[in-house]
This record gives sequence, structure tokens and C-alpha cells, in this order.
Amino acid sequence: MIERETIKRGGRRVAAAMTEFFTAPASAKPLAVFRIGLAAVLLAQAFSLAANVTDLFGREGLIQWDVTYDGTDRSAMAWAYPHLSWFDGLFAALGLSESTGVYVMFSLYVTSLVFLLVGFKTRAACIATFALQLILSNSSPATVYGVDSFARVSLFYALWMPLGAVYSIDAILQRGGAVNSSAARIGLRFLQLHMALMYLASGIGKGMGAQWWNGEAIWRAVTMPELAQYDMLWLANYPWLPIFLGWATVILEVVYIAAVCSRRTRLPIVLAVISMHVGIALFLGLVSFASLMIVLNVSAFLIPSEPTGLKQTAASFDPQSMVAVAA
Amino acid sequence: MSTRIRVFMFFAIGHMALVALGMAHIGVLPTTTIPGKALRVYTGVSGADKGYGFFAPGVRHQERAVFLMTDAEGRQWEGDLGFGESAEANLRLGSTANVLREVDDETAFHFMRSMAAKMFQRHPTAQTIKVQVQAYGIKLPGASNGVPAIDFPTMAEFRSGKQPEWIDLYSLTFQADEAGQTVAVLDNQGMLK
Repeated sequence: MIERETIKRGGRRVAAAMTEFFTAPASAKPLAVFRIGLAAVLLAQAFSLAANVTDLFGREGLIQWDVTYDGTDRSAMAWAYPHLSWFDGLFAALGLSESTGVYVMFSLYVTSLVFLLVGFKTRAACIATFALQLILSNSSPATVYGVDSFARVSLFYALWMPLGAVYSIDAILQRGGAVNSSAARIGLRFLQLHMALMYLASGIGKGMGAQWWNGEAIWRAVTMPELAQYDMLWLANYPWLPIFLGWATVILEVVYIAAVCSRRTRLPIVLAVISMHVGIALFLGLVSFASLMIVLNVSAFLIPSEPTGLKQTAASFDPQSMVAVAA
Repeated sequence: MSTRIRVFMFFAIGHMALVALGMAHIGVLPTTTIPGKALRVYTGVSGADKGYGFFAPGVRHQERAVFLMTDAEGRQWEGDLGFGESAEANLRLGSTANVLREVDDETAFHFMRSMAAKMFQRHPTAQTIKVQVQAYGIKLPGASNGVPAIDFPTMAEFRSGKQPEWIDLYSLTFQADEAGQTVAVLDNQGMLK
């Protein structure tokens, strides 16, 4: 009987700790930084692609719609993946040519990103940005890469997060929701969990290959014509350097999940990972990808999430959590 | 904890479980079933199906597509996919050739046909276009269906004098049809892989 009671008590303690961990009110500031950073990176990326919109996304683009819609491994379930070709009828009804229609969709994407950036009609902007990013990337699957994966994941989380509570026009107009809320904590926690799991999966995946231990992965990446920003062939004469960088990358990614859990090691590990992404931008030219990863790291782990002020609304606030804050 | 928060947490934890399974490349349900299809769509749309295997377990050699245009007078000139107006656009356009090795032969053929069609748009005087797929590296012993085995030289191989270069893998030659929109195969060297 005593043992059962002890187990019950322990279970209640764990449940209470989990509840506190996931739902204790948090400041919405980290999520606002996430919103602004995400929108800024995707806007910069959109402007850099603007001159090649039809080449990338158009019916007669580099990879034409009949190939992207019917010729991929998703063809059996193509009905489930929104594609620009779905809007053919709408473009025709509006008297738009296909290429004009593609530009209109791209312009709507840019507009929704601007709304997201300034936090105006934030929720609607989030939904529109997510839907349009999905449509555009589905219409150009051969040209997407890591940054698009993270944009998709980030925008999906953004749908559920209170992003407009601070640093936004919605907040100025006092319709952005609570500055501190359980919803902000939940959003932040799942963003943090996703980041930690992602680096762990990436680190384990790298660690399973010999190239990251013998330095060949770094050597190949920085000398590959597609990515190389400088002549790095001299690295072959100093193999200890790519070996060190390979080991450091794997170890950094694998220990990230544990290191971000401790206040003492959080800042060093996040700064180290940010340095890695700066290196990716400088030496591999993956500027959009690196910028987005830096935004995710900063907003998830470096912006203080302790509740600030007392401007909270009952509608988005859990009463028990309010007691916790008051205490 | 309010009911709203409880429900939200339930779905959030379920989503995170799918994310973890996606990272481990574990399928939850077969996509032949309706729940399996629904889950596949959900994970695809939400991004929960991503593996995050960036450069893992290793960095593969690079492939590219180059184009040889020939006009009615037999004049020839070359082109590539570097016609983007920014580094980001060129990264995306250029990397399409790397997709060719990931897909089946039929899809690879359609990709190359599509690339040729794009080049016909950009070079309206061209009568034929040869799409040549190349790999950057050194030839290894052996070949598969006439396509040479390629890999990037190791640091030790590079120090011993082995220099990477662009090596022809396979090619298709296309001709514009009367409408100038679609293209037909004239010649097939090494394709399908």
C-alpha cells in the first residue's frame, strides 16, 4: 500500500513538473523574434528569387508542372499536395495568363510575409504564408533544399503560436493577445524540442558515416563547385583541420539536446552552433539556410522567456498558471 | 490545466512523436490504408516527415547538366543552368541535376526533357539540344550500363595528384516539335541509367 502511495505521489510530482515545464506562462517575446526573423529571412529569399519566378515555379519553368505534379513519387497522392496547377481555372476566370497568375501568387506570398514581419493580422498572415509556401514549394520540388524544409516546419508551428502579442502592429492595436501566456510557453517548448531532436538526428546521421570522422565530408563540401565560395583545395595538405571540423560538427549536434537543457551550457552550445551556421553561410554560400537556423536558435534559446509585466488576458491564460505566476 | 490546453498538448505531443519517427525514418502506417494516407499527407504538409540528414552520412559528389545547342546552320554553343539572377536562384536551378540520381529512369527522362524545353525557350534559334549530365570527381574502376562510376577524390588521392574534373555520365538529345513547346528524343547516350 505504501509503495503504491509513493508511486502515486511520484507520478503526481512528475505530472506537475511536466505541466509546469510545458504550460507555465512565458513571455511572447521569443516567439515575436521568431516571427520577425522567419519573415525577414523568407522575404530576403523571396526577393532574391523574384527575377526567376517563372523559371522556378512556372508551368514552363525549368521543371515543368506536368513533371512536378505527375512525375514525382507523390503522383499517386497528388490530390493531397496543393500545386499551382490547381489554380489554372481561377487564373483563367480572372483573365490572367499562367505566368501572370504565378507572379500574382508569388506577390501574395511576399505580401503575407510583410504582414507577418510587422505583425499585422498576424494569424491570417501566418495561414496565408504557410499555404502559399506549401503551394510554391510543391510546384518546384526539384529546386527546394534544407531552408525550405525549415521554412515549412517553422510556418507550421507558427500557425499555432501567439506570434503577434509583442513587437507587432496587432499589439499596438491591442489585439495581439496576452504578453505572457501558457500558449507562448507551449509554442516555445515545442520549437525547442524540435530543434533539439533535429540536431540529434542530424548528428547521429553524420556520425554513422566515415566521412565526418576522417574529414572527407568537410573537404568535399567546401571544394564542391556547387557550394564552394573560395579555393579551398589547399585543405588537402592540412587534413587535421577538416578532421577537427568534422568531429566538432558531429559532437556539437549530438550533445546539443543535452547542453541546451542546462542554463550553464545553453549559451555556449547555442553560440557554437550559430558559429557553425555562420561558417556554412561563408564557406558553402547557403546564406538563407544559415540565416534561418540562426533565427531559430536565437528565438528558441537566447531570448529570455520569463514572464514580463502583468498584462495578461484571461481568455488565453490558464488560471492555475496565473496562480503559479502570482506565487 | 484548462481543457483547451489539454487538447492542444495532446495533439502537440502526438505531432512531436511523428517528428521523432520521421527523423528516424520510421513509417507509422502503410500508405496503402486510408489512415496511412491521411498521416502521410499530414506529415508531408506539416514537415514532420523530414529526416534532416543534411550531408549525412556523407557528402556525395556533385552532378550537373550542361547543354549543347545546335542551330539550323550547324552552329553550336554551350549553356548551363546558371541563368539565375542571384546566387540563391542559381543554387536552386543548378541543383536540379542532383535530383536525377534520386529518381527512377522515367522521371529522370522527364526532368531532362523539361530542362531541354526550358533551354529551347532561352535559345529560340536552336534546332536540337543535347542535355549532358556530368559528375565532378574522378573515374573509379567499373561502370554500370555504360555509365562510369565516379567519386570525389579523397584528400590523400588529391595530394597524390588526382584532380577532380567534370566527367560525362549520360546524355539525351532533343529536338523541338512544330509547336516549339514540347521536345522529342533524337539520340540517347547512356540513358536510361
